[in-house]
Amino acid sequence: MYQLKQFEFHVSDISTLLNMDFTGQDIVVNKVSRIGQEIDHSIILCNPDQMDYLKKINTECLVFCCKKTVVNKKNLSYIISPDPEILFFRFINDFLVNETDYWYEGIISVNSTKYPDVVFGYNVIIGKNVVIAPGTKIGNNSVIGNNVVIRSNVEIGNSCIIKDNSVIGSSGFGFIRTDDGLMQIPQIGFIKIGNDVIIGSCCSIEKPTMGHTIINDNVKIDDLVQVGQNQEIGKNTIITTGFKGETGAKIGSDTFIGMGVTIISGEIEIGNRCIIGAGTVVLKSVPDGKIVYSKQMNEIKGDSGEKIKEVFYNFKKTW
Amino acid sequence: MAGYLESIIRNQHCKTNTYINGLLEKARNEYGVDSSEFKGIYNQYFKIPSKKSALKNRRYYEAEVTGKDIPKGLERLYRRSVAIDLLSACACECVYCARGYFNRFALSNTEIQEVAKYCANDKFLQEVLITGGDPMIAPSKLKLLITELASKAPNIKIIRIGTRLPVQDPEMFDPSLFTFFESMKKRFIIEVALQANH
Repeated sequence: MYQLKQFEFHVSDISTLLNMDFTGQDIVVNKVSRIGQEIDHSIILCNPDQMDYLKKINTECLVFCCKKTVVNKKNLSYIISPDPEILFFRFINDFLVNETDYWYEGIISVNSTKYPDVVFGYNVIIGKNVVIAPGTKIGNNSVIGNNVVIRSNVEIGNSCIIKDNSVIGSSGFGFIRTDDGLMQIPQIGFIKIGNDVIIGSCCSIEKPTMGHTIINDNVKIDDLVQVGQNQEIGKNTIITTGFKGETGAKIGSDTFIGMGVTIISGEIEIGNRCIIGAGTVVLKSVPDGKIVYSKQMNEIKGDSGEKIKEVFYNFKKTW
Repeated sequence: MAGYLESIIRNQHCKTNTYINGLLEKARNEYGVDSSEFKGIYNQYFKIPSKKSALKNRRYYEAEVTGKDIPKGLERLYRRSVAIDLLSACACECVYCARGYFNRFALSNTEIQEVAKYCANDKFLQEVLITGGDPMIAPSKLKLLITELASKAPNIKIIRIGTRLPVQDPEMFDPSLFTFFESMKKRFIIEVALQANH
């Protein structure tokens, strides 16, 4: 999706762009390198345990590091910060990366003949083969990947990224048993996605029967995630791959959801600042600030060779 | 005195990039040291100013309107237009540039949003000059400022941008910026002033 663009910066310019001071000479840098493989005139991130590598560098480089890590050498310039990693990645993200790759269909501002009745903000980047329903709202600077389907009643905020093959607003999975069999429950609700949200590839955000499915500001969602009907996800929450939740489940802000977590009931609420470990089946509500994980690695007694046959046999039986 | 000018006088060392160094080499080889082609580039980028003249020729002045209500990075001289200094970094540092007198700065994302808010609240404003530094050196900041103005300030109709980047460092000039400006052409009249030598 992204590629590094060509650049040539003075160290003083980099310090200006980041609002940080620098020490050492005002050299020119034009590459980003990994420490240990440094090339002349490159930008390097150095963690405290990688200090030995710094002593070996003989070429002119700019180093992002914390105060402890500094080695006095004439060829090295430093931008010193308590969080060098964040500063380093922010610099690359903001100034060195080309967000529009070759496959994009183009940039849309305000309205387009291809998507009539869709309310676009400014500088919305659209991939190929995208389907967007009339009435959708998409905010400024958002990126919509290839093959994305956005169905009706969806509102997307500013600076969101929706990666390839995701479906936003497919009708929720709900049926009622009647005398005639199963009847589809109408799914006529709304989806609201806040600002700075990332939704990974092949995700599905489902439209509810009534009311809203809400994803708040700055939520990051990994690939292959299903956000069900009427769910609400709080600010700054990270949801990793394989998450599934029952209708109406709520997740608080600043929470981390591990791989393959399943919430089995709509009455469950996960609080703020929680960590839910990988593979956990959440059976009841989790209060704020708790760490929850499932019992893992249940060992079966006996030799594995014999057991494998047994397991296979049982598996066939159940199938 | 603060800023770039002080540092080049102190260190006796000018800031140039490989593209400009190549231009000087080329002019030296093709036309010789006494030629106007060589001197033009040398005087602009490589000649270190003397301390006395640098101190004497301080012809810049602060705009009187930079008062309490005006956010950082904004300069208001006329009723109809406003100048926004996005950042102080530039692709190349000419030895006589007035920017050398000032401290280095770059507007943060929240400061950019404040600038857009200020522009939206003033009915008389129609025109915005985005300068710096060179706003094209940080396309992400420039795009944010323009999209913020587009969505929040309907009164702004003209955007002017002063840049040296396509001349000073052509490879750094990002083609995606062209497509961005193309997408904004229905909303604004965008005028890009390309400053080759000034």
